[in-house]
Amino acid sequence: MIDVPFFTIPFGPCHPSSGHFHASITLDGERVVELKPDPGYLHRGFEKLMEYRTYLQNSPLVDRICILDPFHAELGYVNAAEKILDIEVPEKGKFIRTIMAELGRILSHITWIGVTSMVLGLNSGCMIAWGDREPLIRINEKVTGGRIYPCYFIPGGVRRDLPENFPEMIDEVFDRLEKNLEQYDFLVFDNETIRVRMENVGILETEEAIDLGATGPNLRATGLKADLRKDEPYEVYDQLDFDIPTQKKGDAFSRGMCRRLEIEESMNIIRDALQKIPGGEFKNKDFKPFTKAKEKETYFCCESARGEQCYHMVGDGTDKPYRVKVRGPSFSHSLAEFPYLAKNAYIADIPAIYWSLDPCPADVDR
Amino acid sequence: MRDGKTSVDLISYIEANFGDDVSFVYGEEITTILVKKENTLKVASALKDWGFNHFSDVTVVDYIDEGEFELIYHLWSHGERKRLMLKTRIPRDKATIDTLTPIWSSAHMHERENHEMFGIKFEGHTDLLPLLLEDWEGLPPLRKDFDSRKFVLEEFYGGERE
Repeated sequence: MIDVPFFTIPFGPCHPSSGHFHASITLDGERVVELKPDPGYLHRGFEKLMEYRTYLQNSPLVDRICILDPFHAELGYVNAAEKILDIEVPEKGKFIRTIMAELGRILSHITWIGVTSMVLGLNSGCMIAWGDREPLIRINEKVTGGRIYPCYFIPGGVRRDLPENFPEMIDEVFDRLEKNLEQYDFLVFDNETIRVRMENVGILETEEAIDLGATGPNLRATGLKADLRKDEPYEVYDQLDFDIPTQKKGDAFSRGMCRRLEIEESMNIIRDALQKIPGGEFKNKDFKPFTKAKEKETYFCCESARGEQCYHMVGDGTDKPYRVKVRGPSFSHSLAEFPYLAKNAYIADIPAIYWSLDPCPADVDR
Repeated sequence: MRDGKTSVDLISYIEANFGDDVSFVYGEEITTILVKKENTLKVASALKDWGFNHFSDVTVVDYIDEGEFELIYHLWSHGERKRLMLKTRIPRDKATIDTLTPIWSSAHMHERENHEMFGIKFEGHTDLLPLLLEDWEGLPPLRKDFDSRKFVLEEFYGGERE
């Protein structure tokens, strides 16, 4: 026997399947002995920047926390800010926020289907997903003015009203998307390329998942029905009728399937909300650019596309927050679950495991 | 908390175990438990046994005028669907506290981040290496006495800017 020493190879930060995330992998042949995450390539210091800006200026800033799911970053921020500013939101504003947040969830999950297919060697999945992403981004543009970064939610409501033909735009895009979902099932989820690489890979049990801090689809894929939209309803989720899709196995494929089913559920939520949306004001005009906060603190969590997105905010009586702490869902996904699942896995399974967790490096680093 | 019954159960459970060592603050939605630094690990362990199985986050707030750091542990119970804040204070000049990694593994990276950003030493933590910053040697940047505007001017504009 020849004694071959362990060797270490980098995963990222310029690897097509890593995003801007780096991990160093120690290998024994093809088996991973240890995976050490090394984030920080997208660290922009948002928590410090927010201490220098007013509550209104921070609203477009938080968009940049995660490129793929900006609506939820804003949603968590404005809700936390409203609590310490003592600002009420009109009912219509809450409905608009719920609709746009769900649209953001669909957008994020479709992007996930695209990126995962590409990483696992199925480029046509990526092309179709990108084709479906475009009409949704156009809706974003028509409603908010921004394609990727909406800067739409502000404390007290939203920046502007939905356009008059919004329900028709949604119907048109969703009809197309519904047809394409069948295509995704045929092309991606029933495809052997994907199945072989994702089934029984990176299995996470419920207990382990909770201990590692997993939330969102990664936790629901283990069979636990945990969703903050039901557990701690915010905005208007308590008035809407929807279900929480779960899976049992907890492997990479179940995590993907959870996202696939959530797309349909989110479309139902948007259709339901459009039926129930009331008239009236869409923002509270009491909120001014230099409104001062109360001397109190709050912790607010919302269910983003990736899981628990939380903000801890401390107000000190001025127009700027004293301290904001952002808890992004990907922090646990990248830094706790990924090294745990990678241990003893084959090196070839690493991209499948990584992308099945759907982490966003920008959200880890902040 | 929203459900009165369980909330009382939790409070009587903690009071029976720790008596005067803890105090409670009832917020509009989230209850806060205040503990002394040396009791944090014991109370946290009891809270895990009660059902707070998800360690969501830990926030550090720098109260520079009072010379103290406030640590706020955010906990969530998947079984009871309850949220809780566990708060403690430590002096700024001797910023050490026991690690909570033996209780919740997810605390590992959160504590590592706060060690880097505030310079807090988590005793018993196995790996307090830098996490997000690159070759950082200055004051931990999220402390209130670190002036990021001054830093940017000195680092990128040679000390002054029109």
